[in-house]
Formats: sequence, C-alpha cells, structure tokens
Amino acid sequence: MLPTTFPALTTIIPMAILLFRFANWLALLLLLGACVQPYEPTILRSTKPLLVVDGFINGSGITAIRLTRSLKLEEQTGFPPETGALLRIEAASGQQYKLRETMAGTYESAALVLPAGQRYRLHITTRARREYASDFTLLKSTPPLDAFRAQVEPSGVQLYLSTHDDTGSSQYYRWQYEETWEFTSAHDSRWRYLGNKQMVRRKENIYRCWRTESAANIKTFSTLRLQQDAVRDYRLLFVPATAIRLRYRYSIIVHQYALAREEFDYWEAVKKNTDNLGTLFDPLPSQIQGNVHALADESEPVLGFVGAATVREQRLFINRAQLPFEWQFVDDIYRTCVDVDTFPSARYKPSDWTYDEMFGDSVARMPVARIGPGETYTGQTQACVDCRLHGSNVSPSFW
Amino acid sequence: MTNYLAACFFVLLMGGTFRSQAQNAPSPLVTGTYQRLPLAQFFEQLAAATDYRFFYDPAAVDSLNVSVQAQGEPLGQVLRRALQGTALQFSVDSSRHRQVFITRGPAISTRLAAGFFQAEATEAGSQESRQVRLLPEGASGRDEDGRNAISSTTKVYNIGQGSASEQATLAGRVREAATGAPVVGANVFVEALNLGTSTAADGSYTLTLPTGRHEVRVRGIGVKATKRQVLLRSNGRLDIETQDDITTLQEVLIRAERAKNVTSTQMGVDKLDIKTMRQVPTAFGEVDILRVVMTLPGVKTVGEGNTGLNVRGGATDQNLILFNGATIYNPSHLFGFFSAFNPDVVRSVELYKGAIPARYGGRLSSVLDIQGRPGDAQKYHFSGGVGPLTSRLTLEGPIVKNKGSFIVGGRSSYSNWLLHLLPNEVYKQSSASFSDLSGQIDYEFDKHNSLSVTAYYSTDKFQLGRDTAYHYVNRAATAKWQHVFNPKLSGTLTAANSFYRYDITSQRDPSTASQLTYAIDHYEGRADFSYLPTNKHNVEFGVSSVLYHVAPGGLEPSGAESLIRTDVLEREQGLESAVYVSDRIDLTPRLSVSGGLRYSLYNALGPREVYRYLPGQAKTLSNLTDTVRYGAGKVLATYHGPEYRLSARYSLTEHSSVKASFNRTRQYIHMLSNTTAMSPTDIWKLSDGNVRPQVGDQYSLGYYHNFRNNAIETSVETYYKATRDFVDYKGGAVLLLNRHIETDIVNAVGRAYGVELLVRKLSGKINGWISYTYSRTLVQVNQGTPADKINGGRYYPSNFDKPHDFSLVGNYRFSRRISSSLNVAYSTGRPITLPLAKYYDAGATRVYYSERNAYRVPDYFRMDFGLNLEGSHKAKKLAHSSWTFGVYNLTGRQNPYSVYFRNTGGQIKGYQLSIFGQPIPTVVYNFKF
Repeated sequence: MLPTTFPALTTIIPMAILLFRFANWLALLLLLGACVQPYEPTILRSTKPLLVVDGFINGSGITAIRLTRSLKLEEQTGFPPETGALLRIEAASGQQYKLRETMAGTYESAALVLPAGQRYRLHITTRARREYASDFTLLKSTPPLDAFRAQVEPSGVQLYLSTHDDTGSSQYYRWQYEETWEFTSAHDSRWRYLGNKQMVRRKENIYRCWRTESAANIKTFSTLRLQQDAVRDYRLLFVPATAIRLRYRYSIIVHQYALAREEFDYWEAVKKNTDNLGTLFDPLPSQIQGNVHALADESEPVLGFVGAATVREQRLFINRAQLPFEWQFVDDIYRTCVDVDTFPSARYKPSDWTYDEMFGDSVARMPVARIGPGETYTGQTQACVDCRLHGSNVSPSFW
Repeated sequence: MTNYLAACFFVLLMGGTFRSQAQNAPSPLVTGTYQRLPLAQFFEQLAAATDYRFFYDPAAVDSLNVSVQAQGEPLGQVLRRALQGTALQFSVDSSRHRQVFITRGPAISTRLAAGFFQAEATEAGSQESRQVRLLPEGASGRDEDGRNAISSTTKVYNIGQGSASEQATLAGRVREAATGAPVVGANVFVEALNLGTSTAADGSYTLTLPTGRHEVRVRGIGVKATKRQVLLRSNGRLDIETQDDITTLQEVLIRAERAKNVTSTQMGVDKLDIKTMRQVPTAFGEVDILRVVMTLPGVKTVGEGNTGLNVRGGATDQNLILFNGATIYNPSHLFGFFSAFNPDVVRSVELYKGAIPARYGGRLSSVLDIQGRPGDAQKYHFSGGVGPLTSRLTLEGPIVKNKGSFIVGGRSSYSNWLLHLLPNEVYKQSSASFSDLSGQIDYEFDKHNSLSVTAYYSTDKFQLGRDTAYHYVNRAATAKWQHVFNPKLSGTLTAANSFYRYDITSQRDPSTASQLTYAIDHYEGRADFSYLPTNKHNVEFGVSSVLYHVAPGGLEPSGAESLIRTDVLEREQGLESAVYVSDRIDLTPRLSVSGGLRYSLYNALGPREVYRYLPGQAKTLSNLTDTVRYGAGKVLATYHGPEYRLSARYSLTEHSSVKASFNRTRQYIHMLSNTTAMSPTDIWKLSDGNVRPQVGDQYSLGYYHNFRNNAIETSVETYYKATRDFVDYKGGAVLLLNRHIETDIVNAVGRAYGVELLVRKLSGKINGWISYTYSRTLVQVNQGTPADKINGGRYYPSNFDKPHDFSLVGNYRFSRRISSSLNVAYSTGRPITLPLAKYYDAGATRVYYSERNAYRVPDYFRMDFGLNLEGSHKAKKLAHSSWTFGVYNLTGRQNPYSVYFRNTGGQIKGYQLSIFGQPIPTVVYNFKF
C-alpha cells in the first residue's frame, strides 16, 4: 500500500513563524546584556561571478527574465547584466517561445497565454555559448485575491490579504509587493539660477515626487496544514504610524503567485538565509541551489529559481484622510533641512559673496524663493530641495 | 612514597603485621652506576629497577648523596655499600610484599615473632568464626550491639578470632557521628599496603587484607580524616564514625582524591563537588553545574547562552545526563542560560568522557552523573539563597533519626519583573519564568537493606507579548534498593521514570491559532551488582532495560476560528536492553587492567506504520516503495552489538603512570535540531528501520604525574574518536511534524581527536585548575544525491570545532571567611558559514553562502571574578549565612555569539551578536538554619 498524501517538506508555516518570533523574543530579552555590532569578515575566498536568473515563466502575459552576475560582498558597483544571451521558453511538448533582450540583461517574451497543465522550462545560451536550463515545471494557475485591505491600528496600518482555491491545488503561495508613495522635499524651489546673476522661474516640479520600492522580504505561505486551501487575513505588511510614506498618499500593489512545492522550498530556504539570521536559534545558513543548471557541468552553481505560474495582482491606496488626524510622521530624509540661507543678508553680505558663489553650485545651494523687495533669494542644498534625488517627479500612471 | 613512611613506622611500632610464612623470593640483582645521586632519587630508581617498594623518612635521607656502582649484584649488597658511612640501616622484606625499610638506628625485623597468632587467639575467646565484632584492646568486653560510638583512634580493635588464614575481609560502614548519615565516597585504606577502597552510597566498604595489625584510615568529603588500629584475625566488621568537617572541607576532599588520578585505571573522568562549583563565578550569580563542567578540558559549548555540552567532539545529544540515576532530557532553564539543577540538593558531579564504565550506556560521548545530596538524618535544617533572578529554599531533616532522612529543595525565578520594567508594551505583556523542585528520601532498614527514593520536576514558561507561548517540563523519579548480600557482594535495584514534554501555543491570528506538542516518556529498570572476590578483582555486572514512548509531535487547532488541521504523528516505541560485566584486575602492583563488555540490544516496537524505500538508494519520497503497518508490540527493527570498555594503567613511579583505553558506545536515540544551539523545540527521535543507531569508538592514551606530595596533579590525555551514523541534516530540513523524517536527515561520519592538558591544585590557599585542549572535530556527509552531500562529501569542521581552548579556574582564600575566585576562558571562535557573494533576485540583494562551516567567528575570551564572604564559623550558631559578589565578563569583551548578514538599504552588512557584551555584576545571599 502506498501512502496517499504526504505533507510537503517545508510547509509548517505556523511553526516557522513561531520559531521566528521565539528568536526575536530572545534578542529582545538579551537587551539585559546583549549587543549587536558591525562585523566585517577578513579575507574571504572570492568566487567567480555566478549567473543569476531572476524571473518566472508567466502563463498569461509577458515573461521577463533578468540575467545578471553576482558580485563580491564589498563591491559597490551595480550588478553586471549578462547581455547578448539567447533565451527561450520550452514546453515539454516541444513548443518554443523566444525572448528578446529589451534592456541590457533583461529579456522579454511577447504577451503569451501558455496552455495550462503543461510543463515548461527556460533555456539560456549565453554569449559565451554556455547552455543553461531550468527544470521542467508544471504551470500553476494562481487563484485571484479575495481581499486586500488595510486596517488602521493604534500604532500603524496593518495590511491583510485573503485568497482561496476551491480546487485545493494551489496550496503554496508567494507574494511580492511594491510600495509607492507621494512625498515632498523640504523646500519648494520656485527659482532656477542660470548663472551670471540670472534668476528665472522654475517650470518643472522638483518639490513633489513619487517613490516606488519593491520589498526585499519574501512572503510565503502554505495552506497544507489547513482544512481548506484558503488564506485568511495573511499579514502582508505593517506600516508604522510614523512612516513618512503615509504622509500624503500611499499605494501598494501585491502580486500573488501559486508555487510548486520545490519552488516553495527554495523560497523558504532563501528566507532562512536572508530574513531570519542573527539570533541564537537560527537554523544554519545553507548554500542554496535553484532549479537552473549548466547543461555541461551539473556542479556549476547557478542562482535563482525559474517557476511557471500565472500572476494575480491587486492594488490598494491609503489617503491621509483615512488615517487618524493625530499621527505624526517622521521624515528621516529631510529632518535636518530646517533653515534656509538668505542672500543678500546680514550674514551673506553682497560685499563678501557673489551670486555665482552663492548659487553657482546647485549641489551646495539651490534658490528656493524670492523674498522681500528686490533680488533677495533664499536657498538650500540640493539634497533638501530636489525631490528627484529620492524619487521621480512624474506621477505614476495609476495615481 | 615518602608519605607512607609515618604510617609504616606506626604500624611497625604497634607490632608489625608482615607475614613471616610467605615464601621469600631470592634477592633481585641490581645493575647500574649511580653518581652523586640524592638518596631519595637513588631509592626511586632502585624501586623502578627492582619492583621493591622503599620506605624511609625523607628527613633522615635529606642532603645525603650516594655514589655506587653495581654489576648484577644482589639488592642487599648494593644497599649495604651505598649506605656505608651513614647512620642509616636497611632491611629487605623479600616476602611477596617486596619492601625495603630504611631506618635511622636499629634495622627493622621483617618477620613476626614465633607464636604471635597463637597468643592472640586465646585472648579473643571462642566465637563463631564469621561473627562481626569489635573489641577495643584492653577493654573488658564488647558494646551491647557490637558497635562502638565515636572511637579513639589509638585503641586497637580485634576483629574476628584467631585463624591462620592469610587473608581476611574487613567490612563495615562509615557514618557521620553527628547525623548518622552514611559517608559516601570516602576512601578507606591501609596506607602501608597501598590497599584501599571507597565507601558505597550507603557508606559501606569491604577491604580484604592480610591478617594482622593494620592502621585503617578514612578520608572523605566533609568529614575529618580519621583512623583505626585494627588487629585482623578473620573476617569481621568495623563500623567507623566520623566527625563533621565544616571548615577544612576543601582540604579533606583533596586528600580523598589524592593520587587517584595516577593510581586508578579510570581515565577521562572528572569529579567536582558542589563546594568547588559554588566558587566559580557565573552570570546572575546562579551556581551552574553544567557551566562549571564546561571549564574542564575536552568539554565545549557553541556559545555562552547554551548549556549543550560537546564532549570530545560529541554532539549535544551524545551525553547521558543523569540526576540521581534518572535521565534528564532537557537540562536547561530559560533557553539554556541556566542549568536546571538546584545546587543546594546536589552533592557531586562526575563526568566520564573517556573510558565510560560498562554500567553506563546509551550515549556516545559522555556520562554526566549528578548525585543528589541525602538529607540530614539528625536534625532539621533550612537553607536557601536570594539572587537577582531566582531564589532557592531547601528543607531537610530526619524521618526516623539515624535511619531515614528527607530533603526537598526548590528554586523559582522571578524574571518577569525585569521584563516588565522595560519601557515597551510588548515586554509588559511578556513573561518568562522557570522553577524546579527536587526531593530525596533515604531509609535504612538494616545493615543490609536501604532504600532511596528521589523525585525531580522542572518547568519553563515564556511568552512574548500575547503571541506565542512556550512551555516545557522535565519530570523524573527513581527508587533504589540497595542490598548487601555479604561483605563481598552487594547489589542495587533501580526503577526510574523520566518524562519530558513541551508545547508551543500560538494565539496571534485566529485562523492559525494552534498548539504544537511533543513528549517522551522513559521507563527504566536496572540491577547492578558489585562483587569483590579478592583484593585484586573488582567485578561489576548487571542488566538494564529502558522502554521509550515518544509522541513525536502533534499540531492541533485552538479556538473555534482556527483553520489548522489536526495533525498528530504516530507514537514511537522502543526497548533498549543491555547486560554488562566488568572486572578490574591488579595484575602486578604496577599494572592494573580493567575490562568491560556491555552488550546492548534495541527493538523498535509497534504499533506503527513504517515506510520502505528502495534498498541501496537515498531515502527520498521518490524512492518510497511501500508502507508497512506493524501491530502493537511487534518488532519493526532490531539492532544490537557489543560495547567494549577496556582500560589499563601502568605505574611508572609512585607519582606517575600511563593509561590507555578503548571504548565503544552505541546510541539508539537521537536529538533532532537544526539550530546551532540547543533550543526548546528540539525533539528526540528513536532509531527505527530507517534511522540507524550511532556507534562511536574512542581510543585514548594518557600520562599522569603528581607533584608536591600529590598536591599538584598534572595529566596529558590524547584521544581519537570515530563515530558513524550520527544524525546530520539536509539543507532546509524540516524536523517538526515530519512523517518521513528519514528523507530529511543523513547519516554522517565523524572523527575527532585532541590533546588535553590539565594542571590541578585542589588544596591550599591558592587552588584551582588550568586546562588547555587542542582538538578537532570533523564531519563528513557523503551519501545521497550531489545536492545532499555537504561540502561535496568532504570532511568539514563541526559547529563546535574550536581547536584551541584554554580555561583557568583559580581560587584564593584570604581567610576562612573571605575567598575570591577568578575564571578565565579563551577559545578559538566557532566555525560559521559566511556569504561569499551577493546577487539580485526577486526585488532584493541576496547572499550566496560559502560551504558549510568554512569560516570562524573571532576568538572568544572572558574573565569572571567572584568574592565569597562567609559568616562566622561557629558550629553551633543558629543561622549560617554567606554573601557572594561576582562580576561576569569583567573585561566587558563583546564575544561574538553569532555573526549574520542582513540586507540594509540594499547593502549586505555583517553584524555580530554578543550575549553578555558588558560586565554583569551580581549579589547573592545564602543562608542555612
């Protein structure tokens, strides 16, 4: 007799949460004597840059795969894109779909609708003619979200989501989200210095910007231990009441993926390596293998996991008016931008300073406003004035 | 050797006991050139060359040098020439004792006057030959019950009646005169003959001696050293009562243990008494047994917030931790910060890390035998202590005076207040508490039968906010019946039960509110016997059996809204049985061997479902072929095998010896934990058809040398250990609620080797020990798929591989009331897995890790200081009290416990966590009524 059902390997989500909280708890208790300090390991054996495959096979839409190379820890440069590769999605049935390099290292397919219930893989041939392929995986059909809601709590906003799959075939879920918010710099600059004592009115907005951040956290959940394949009020994110993100308007989009068990295990392992480290009872970090392999050399480490699923998304907005009136937001970026310089003034006498010296270097000082009679301007550093340093001054399409 | 002289003379003056009828061997021949050699050294070299023992007064031979040359000359002739021109005389006793006496003045006759025994026989009168009796010399008769109260050390006791037999057995009990409590572990010995034994748990001893006159000495922990003059005619009994020794306890202890490290065949054993342990400063002032054990050579731990012991490269589950004979599965409180034994009810701790006696089994690396303290059988006492985290209270007293006693000790924490002081809502809703309770009842029915019952309970609870609550409980009970069949044979029958459980309750989200439980129940029965046919043999034998019941895990919903599906894993049962026999044989005075064989048999029992996998293939779900159901009591797997316990000692000189041992151990129960430290969610798993028992072999070799009259003990021990089939985990293994755990674990092979150096001084104003260990512990996982092989199947350092390890425990006694102690520890940092590269995936920078344990955290160093202030030492005052002040981590060094990497603002940054990163001062008040 063969057993009919097996719980998968890494499905004890409640347990993982318990352990994680337990670990946190310890760290807190240890306040009595414990302390955390920066640590820089000495001389690490360097490894060759490894191929990183970031993305998934999208069952209904554009499949976007990003190929990069890994960096040494101390390297400060961006991750080098792997350009000039040939990528294609292969179905087990033999059907192939090519991807096109749209940006350096980013490869996109056409908007596809892949037949569900089939097995797919990604095939890569790099510019150096080295071939890689992911394991064949069954295309999962992701159920839609039932609800994605925000609840105001005394100390912040809790975001909950719920979903379910009546067929019971999803079981493993992963969510990714991007947060977008509106913010303003410390001073609204209305003037622009052209040089040679010429001040003109500034046309573009560099005061009000929008910033988008994607989450580094890995959010996964399994319903395997539940009686139904249903996620109820999963705590996706908690935004503290002091977060500057909530000051004007805040938006978050969540992408929901149904996962195969192997992919779920992979993300759990990545999560263990990145999120849960640093306490006494942490599991040991491990060398994680994804599902992409070099065809010629099984032992070459390739990073990343290429799953196959359809995606469901939902966006949510939170306006200031929906939040308690008394909430105070802490602006970490512009906290130090309090005073403006005035020119000419008792402090900056025209006999000591010229316009060029005051406003010539826009990083050091940008004009903010014209005050009083005559050519008197206030100014502040670019960091306090130009919001584009922290976001985009173009409002997003969904705003 | 010299310390035997006084006793020797004393015996000789009292009449001498050396047997005259023994056959004399021809005088041995001596060859050698001795140039201007101090006499003492000359005798030592002669002793080494001839097998003869030399007795002399060091003061008499001091400053004398000797030059003599000999070429195959008889010993006597050589001595005559050597001692020419000195005032010294010698006599050679070439009977089987082979002794040489050097005296100033008249030479000693080594033979008894004719008719010596006949004269004694008429004095004693006619009695049954084996009657137990005592007769002070010159007394007109015996006491009513044949016992004597506190006896003079100079009276001569006639034992038995006249007999011409060569040997006779002297047996009896050593008790404290004041309380009547048995004196356990005291040495009873005849120094002149170098014969001795130690008292058993009921204070009894048996000594086989040549008939004749002896001085029997007694030395032990907490008692004043005493002696009895005995004229042994035939088998008989001598009960000895001792005086309490309140102030010189340290000194007495040392004397009791003196030279034991050199003379016993046992190697790789460390014994600590509670007094020694109390002196070692600890964090929060809690006297911590396990933490003191960690300062011994060969014992390590992964970090300071952890009571898991790694003995000679063994895992934390390879230690058999016994409290009064019952196995304790989780010996820690508060996540492992404290050990779960109340110091007030503990008498001593013995750690066997090398040659494990055959009576112990079931674990691979070590046995930590913690002995509780019996209560005072004379009067009632209260004692206790108040510290920053816990308070202790102990009550003891007689049940029936001099016959039975009880002791109950409890300890409870009040750490909640600390937590609630912190300015945070979450902490205010949190709690952490622990407590333990131990008790012991001893009752002596008669001289041959005694009963001891002990019980132990410890519990821990902690909760963060209103969220997850952890709770665990240890429970143990034992009943021991000791029976003395005759002076040569005694036995102990033990029944024990141990129980450990934990539960974790999560209430935060109604839809996932649940409770996870785990429990193990252990029933043990054993019979141990000790048989002493002659002085040259010390036989131990016995049988034991353990029945395990494990509830490996259950997850149940809590609350009506919970969607959690009940999932309870099937129970596991196992029966572990063993028979053993061991004998210590003194082949010659120099060579002594100890051989033991333990044969253990393990049956995994139904009812249970067992999965079958393709034979010879890695155990993965895809290789699963079948499920077999076994009924109740059906055996689903059997493992058995011999466990050898061999050791030998060869004495090089009186003060030095070499020992070697070989040891095999088998372990049928495994702790599953994939965290570096022991954690409360670790579970114990029984061997079954898919999980094989662990087997370990250890070879060790040691050299022992004592200096300054045994005041300073030194030793060098080396060992090599090979273990197989111990449990390691695949990456991302899930241990909780896993129905096919065998697919997530791998059988690892381990090897460990090291050198341990120990210098120990346990007497005097300055005492303590210094130990240094160099050791390596390596693991290999080379089976299964390439992904299963850890580090490509090569050996890698285990989590607790710390090659250099130094520790110093030093005490300085300013006066009887003020003493201080210093504790220094240094070790190589433990291995860790570090990130090698960073990469960008799924919206964040992530890290790619090195091979397992390829790097190390920075070295560890810590220094602690403690000061003990005792109240006055008036023996009769109402209450005794003492204060302990201490500073843990005096230098405030931030020893990294762990190193981790986190993504902060797109940058991977390394951090190190130190647990006690600053000096921690403490004050504890102790009292006794």
